[in-house]
Amino acid sequence: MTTEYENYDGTENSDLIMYQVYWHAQTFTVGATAHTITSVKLKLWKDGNPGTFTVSIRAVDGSGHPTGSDLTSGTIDGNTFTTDGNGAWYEITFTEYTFLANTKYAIVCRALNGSYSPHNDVVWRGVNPGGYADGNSEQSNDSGGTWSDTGRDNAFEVWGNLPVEYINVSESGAGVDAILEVLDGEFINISDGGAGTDSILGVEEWLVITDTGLGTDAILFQGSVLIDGADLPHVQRIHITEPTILSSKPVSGELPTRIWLGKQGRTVEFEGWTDSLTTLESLKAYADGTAHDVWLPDGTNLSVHIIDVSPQIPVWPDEYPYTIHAEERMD
Amino acid sequence: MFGSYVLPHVLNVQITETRKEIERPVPLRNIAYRVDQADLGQTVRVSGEIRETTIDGAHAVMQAIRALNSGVDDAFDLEDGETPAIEALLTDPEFILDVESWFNGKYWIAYSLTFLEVEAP
Repeated sequence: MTTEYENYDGTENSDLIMYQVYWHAQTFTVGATAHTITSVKLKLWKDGNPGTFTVSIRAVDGSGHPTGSDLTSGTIDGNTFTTDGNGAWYEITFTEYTFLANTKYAIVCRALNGSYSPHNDVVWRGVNPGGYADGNSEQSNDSGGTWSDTGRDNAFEVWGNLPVEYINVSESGAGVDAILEVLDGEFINISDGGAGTDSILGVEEWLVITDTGLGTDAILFQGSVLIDGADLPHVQRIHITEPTILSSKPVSGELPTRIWLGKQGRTVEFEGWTDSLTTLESLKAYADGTAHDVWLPDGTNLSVHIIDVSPQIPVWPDEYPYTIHAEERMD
Repeated sequence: MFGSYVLPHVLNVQITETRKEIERPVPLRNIAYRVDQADLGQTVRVSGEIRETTIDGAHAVMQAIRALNSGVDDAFDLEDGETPAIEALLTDPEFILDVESWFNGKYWIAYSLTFLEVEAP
């Protein structure tokens, strides 16, 4: 199930027309959480029959303009759009692509088969002047060669999923499998288009991927380590102990009398690392004396107190190890 | 084997026979006064691995082992053909989940258990 991430939907009072070499774009900035994009929704309407409408994602240069080739793209039949000048929301589906956190991208749109006379064009609804702080509307009169700011913002929604981290994939069978993207060594976008057996060689996060061979692969977030619903970063090891409370009295001439009095509850020690000092600080906040809800990778759910959070001296640059000591409490 | 439960993939067994003694330091003597008091019986530390191909399977085995820590003593047999079976209590289970052993149908959990010998009923 996909999630809506970035969006802008003000009170539209602007129309931007697209046909042939006249393209329009809307830039936006991914938030602190990296995610993939599976589709965008745009508020559009049409004149005449503009034909296939193409939408893609491109990188943004230092001046805030779209640049480079398409990172991912999708199409929709523009002839099916409403002719109502208020427009309607249309979803354009992409091959899934992973965005980096805190990075600006552009939604680039064109109707290559459209025309000015007779009017066969697609119109993107927007707001003039724009009110979206993390991007702007752009226009190009030369098929995306050069771009300029329109001073407006167009209505858009970006939909996607959380990314999968640190996955090592091997393909040993028939069919077309592709590792689409490796970004910063962290996020890998996997597609399986064919038959045969795929194998996953190593997963350095508590994630599980299933591959059914044919058709669609499912990426399941089963197996994560969660505290209060938030993923604990890069957990490498979990040590669970469950001490027994025992009364033991030595007896001369025979074995001691041992009376089982109960259990102390589980203590759980997490060892992991993070690449962010900010995250490290947020982890320390868990040691606050209140109850926290912990999910272990096997599906066990515990109510715990976080007794201590111990950051360690970095082993590698930008890699800050930590340990978290949690003790089970009566819920 | 503990009762009727076969411990999975045992990799190491450490047996310690312990006695309790009374010890009193004696002023100006080089050796303390020591006298044997009682036999504490055997302590057997068993380490092994839960090796399952599904998360649910690994979870079920871990819960089954935890359930043996119930205060009910049972026969503990190393089944090596030589070491006699003892009556024992299972205590202090420990489990270690390592990221390298948790992916793609390999859901392994290292465990260790302590068995304390008790008088046979």
